[in-house]
Amino acid sequence: MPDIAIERKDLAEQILDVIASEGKVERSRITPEATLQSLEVESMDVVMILMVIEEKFGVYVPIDGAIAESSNVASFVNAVADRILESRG
Amino acid sequence: MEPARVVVTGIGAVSAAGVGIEALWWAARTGKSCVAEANLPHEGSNRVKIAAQLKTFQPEDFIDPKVLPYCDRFSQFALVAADEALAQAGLDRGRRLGGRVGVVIGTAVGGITTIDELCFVELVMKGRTDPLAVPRIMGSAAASQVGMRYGCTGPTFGVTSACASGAQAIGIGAFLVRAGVVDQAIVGGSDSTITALNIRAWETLRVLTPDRSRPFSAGRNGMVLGEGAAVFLIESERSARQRGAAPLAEIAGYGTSSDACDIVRPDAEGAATAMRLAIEDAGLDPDGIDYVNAHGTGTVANDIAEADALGRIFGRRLRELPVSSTKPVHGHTLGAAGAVELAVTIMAMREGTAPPTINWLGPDPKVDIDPVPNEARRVPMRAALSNSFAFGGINACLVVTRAE
Repeated sequence: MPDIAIERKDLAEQILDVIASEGKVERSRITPEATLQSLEVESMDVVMILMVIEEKFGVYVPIDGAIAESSNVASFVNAVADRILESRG
Repeated sequence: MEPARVVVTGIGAVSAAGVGIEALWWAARTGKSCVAEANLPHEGSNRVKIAAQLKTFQPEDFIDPKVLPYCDRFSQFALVAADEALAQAGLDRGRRLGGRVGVVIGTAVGGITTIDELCFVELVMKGRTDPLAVPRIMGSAAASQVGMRYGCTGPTFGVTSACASGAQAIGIGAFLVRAGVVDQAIVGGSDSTITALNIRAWETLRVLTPDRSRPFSAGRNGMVLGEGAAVFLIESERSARQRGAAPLAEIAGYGTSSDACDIVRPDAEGAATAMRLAIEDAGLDPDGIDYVNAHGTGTVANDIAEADALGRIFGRRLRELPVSSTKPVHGHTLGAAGAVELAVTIMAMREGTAPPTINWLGPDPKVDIDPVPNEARRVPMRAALSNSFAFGGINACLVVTRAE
């Protein structure tokens, strides 16, 4: 696997950990297809998740289209990972 | 007795564009953004560095040295805007206006600049606590200072409903005039919140753009904070006629509602209800509205909910109705927004020009409106609507019509 793919996979795992801790969801329930709604992750939980992302990765992630429109865990994680990788240049 | 009609006979404004309604209107109409890197009194952990900040303001040019120590920046702005409004209305400080004049000034956060300074001096510097902190911080400080300056002894209070504060203050003031409780009222909104602490607090909600605010546009990613005030002298049509004052516009309708749902997520039905009530209160139907100055913060959520709400009111006509947000020019002035944007709306109506929504890149399929992208447009107007939708789910809308 190329380095960038490993980096992204590792990032995704770390983002899932943040969703679990800040969204107060059991890690086992967080599948790629699950929607944030089905996990009862509410708008203020997303704010707390992005706060911890900022602390961990040093990147400010505003709620833009990609984040707001992410329909499930996989697309949310992807959108956040994109922002983190972008900030690393 | 017929309820009184309420007219505006004076308008004053302070904004990032400068002191005066003309500076504000010129910036809004030409789409000249006042957003730049902010000067912050103390350094903080904020990552967002931009705001629409008034950098040239010297309060001592406008306010007596005996009064100034009692005035947080939000009160200073309100006083300066009130001076302009009352001068235009033909009233001066030479005589006390008395018990038939009320003062209602909205603010979302009141003396936050003073609180910021107090924390820094007290907690960081271990210095001397400002004994005037309490009268500077209180949310009603601007209303009291304006009332003292002009000797208004009628109903006087602050209104606070986050970003709907300014619109609610004007609406409630208009109701006081309409009901005959007062003949005249000094109404408006004021806020100044450009501190590192406040920017940081807003950015943790993820609603601030790190680059450019572009309401209703594809690729939008948030709002930009602003500061300022707008103040109006409103009075019964009869009061204006008796003293020979020229009406600039009529405050024809006010509507307000609450989502009572989510503390931060906007609800389209609540917003639509406030618009509907304001239009009905003006005795109009939606076809009578020629221009909408939107709340249009530039956040993903607000703009989708607002476009949805506008669709519920204006139906298929929405695509032909000019709807613009001037927030990328003067910033989101929070508790002043309803007042600052009503001032812009009245100027737009008087001049027959819809100001543009700047920084617009292209349409968002979820926002099916005509945002008057990037350039002002000639639009003859008889009536216009100004929207304010707040955190906490509070919605307030005002309808203005041409003064006959």
